[in-house]
Amino acid sequence: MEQAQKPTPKAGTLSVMATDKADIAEAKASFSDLYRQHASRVYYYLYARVRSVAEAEDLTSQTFITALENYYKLKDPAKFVPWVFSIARNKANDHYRERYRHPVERFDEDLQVNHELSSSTLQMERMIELERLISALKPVEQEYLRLRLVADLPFAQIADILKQPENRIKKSYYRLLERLQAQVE
Amino acid sequence: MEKHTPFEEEIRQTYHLEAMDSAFSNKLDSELRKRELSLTARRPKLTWQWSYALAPLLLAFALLFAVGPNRVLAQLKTWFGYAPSGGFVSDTGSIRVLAQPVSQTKDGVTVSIKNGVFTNDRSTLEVSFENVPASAHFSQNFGKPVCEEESYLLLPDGTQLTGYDSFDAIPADVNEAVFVLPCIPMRTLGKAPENWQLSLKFIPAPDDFVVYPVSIPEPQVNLEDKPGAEEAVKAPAETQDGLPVKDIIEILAVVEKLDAWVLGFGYKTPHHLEDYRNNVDLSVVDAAGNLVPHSYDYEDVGDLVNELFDLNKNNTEFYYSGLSAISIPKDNYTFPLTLTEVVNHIGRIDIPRDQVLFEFDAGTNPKPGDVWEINQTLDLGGYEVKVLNAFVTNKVALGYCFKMDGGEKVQQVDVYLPDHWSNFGSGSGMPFDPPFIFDDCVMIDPLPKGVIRVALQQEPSLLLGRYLARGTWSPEE
Repeated sequence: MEQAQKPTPKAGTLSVMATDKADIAEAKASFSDLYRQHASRVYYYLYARVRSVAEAEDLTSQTFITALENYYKLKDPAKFVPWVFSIARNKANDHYRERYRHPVERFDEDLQVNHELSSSTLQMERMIELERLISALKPVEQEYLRLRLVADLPFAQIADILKQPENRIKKSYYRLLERLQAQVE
Repeated sequence: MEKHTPFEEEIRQTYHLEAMDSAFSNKLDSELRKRELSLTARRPKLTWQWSYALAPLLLAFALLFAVGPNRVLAQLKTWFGYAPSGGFVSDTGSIRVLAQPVSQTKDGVTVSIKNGVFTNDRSTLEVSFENVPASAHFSQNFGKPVCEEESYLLLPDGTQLTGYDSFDAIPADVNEAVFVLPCIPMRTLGKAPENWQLSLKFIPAPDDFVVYPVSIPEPQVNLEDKPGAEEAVKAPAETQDGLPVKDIIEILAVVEKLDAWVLGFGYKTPHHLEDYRNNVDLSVVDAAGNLVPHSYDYEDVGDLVNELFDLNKNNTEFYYSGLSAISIPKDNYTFPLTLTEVVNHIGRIDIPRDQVLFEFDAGTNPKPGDVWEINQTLDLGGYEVKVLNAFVTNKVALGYCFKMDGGEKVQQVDVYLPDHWSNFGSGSGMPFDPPFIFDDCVMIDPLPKGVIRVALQQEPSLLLGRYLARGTWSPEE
């Protein structure tokens, strides 16, 4: 998994141009580079939301195409990651509005797959219970887990995406972990 | 990659992530490159002419934000009362209740709705289940589909208001609805009766329906969420009983019952300020210095705290931690009343997790009662913690515990065994008074033998300071 990095300008790469400020455009990395750096995490995040490879791929495509078309609006290259994840979140939300489908619809299929893969009954049961507990969490709590553990984002970027103070997210996240741990035990 | 604890890794595994298909990834990359090239040729520029057109809109936004807090306050003041089970009520004339309790029985299982309160603001039901077989619980059927479908109120025009026991408001001209429960929550599908439908009728609330007056006090706590505020909070001028005093307890709502006031309150905290805290006990005194009796009142106003949370959750300036409600019996107190609570302000030591802290040899036959003296001092980010001993516990389950002395500053250290799968952790909890001596336990069965490595689970808790949180309140004239 890639580490969150500040995109850096690269000699010879194409800047997505056309703001009034050339220096901003120059500071930006090639969009293709950014795509390669961050596509996996965006895909993982979307997969965790829709639980379908085909739909996750579709939403990943939509996310990066939208990001490309609006990249010129992004003034601070360091904010690329929270910005692209905000787009991904919106795409996933739109997806559910259109389909009117609950994100855990495929939950049971996943459980059965996991059933066969797990090596120990105790671990399997614990994982199944954990999955059920996670699926019953509030949407924002599920989002904390996806952004932190699936997308592997630092708290500062999660704060940017969710427009919440970093301290509050940290506090909520750790309390959520404690609660889940207590429940699963 | 961010460092994750074993438990976080467990959570991550529940998503069953698989790497993105490389063919898809390459195809999308190629598509983006093509689009990137074509976009460079046709991007329009934003000109100053556009900014003139946008000016009125920007002004409107500015005004909106400028009046924001006052409008929020004004909205709060429109609440007329508080109905137990119904929450804040803005119009008592519109309150309706369930005409009569309803129930339905299938295969010996009964779903009942004993009470319902329907206001202009929301609809609430008291739903209960009886005789649901224990074998239907999801925990008895791991791996099988669990009831996930939400219940809803079905209105005559087909509108569905989803929820479990709290729903959006029902229009005043609608006098009946059907409570539809596709399946019983937390139960395995197919193991308990499903597809419940209970018809509900609404009637105006009777004259003796209780709605308590609610008042929303003017904000008393003035903290500005900007640089400098943190220092002001950290270094207050006043002290009491040797502790710095911080006026951060805000009374958010007062429900006036016939014989008591119920005060909903929280610790007002700027968003940027760390607020981990553990508290001892709230004290209430009147202006003459007399102790005022109080109790935590959840029976009549159990939803009040949730209401306060909902009302304040979108506040962008502050948030309220430790939301709570107390009941104070009415008496001839000398007002104002002062609420105080000793608070430990807790932070975390910023050091890497997962590092191995120490190890010990559990031998070949560890058993409950065994103790290994360790007496090893750890340096955790410049703070000393002494590991006193390790011992086997079987109080809750079989496991290893580690007794530690965190001295005056380190309040808790969570550990795990990196080489062994553990079911869960336990321990003595976070002590309040230093020196901080605590146990942290790892439950594991069977017990691993031989040399056991012990690692740091998460950043240790650090006592940053202790202060007296304070707030005052007087009934409105």
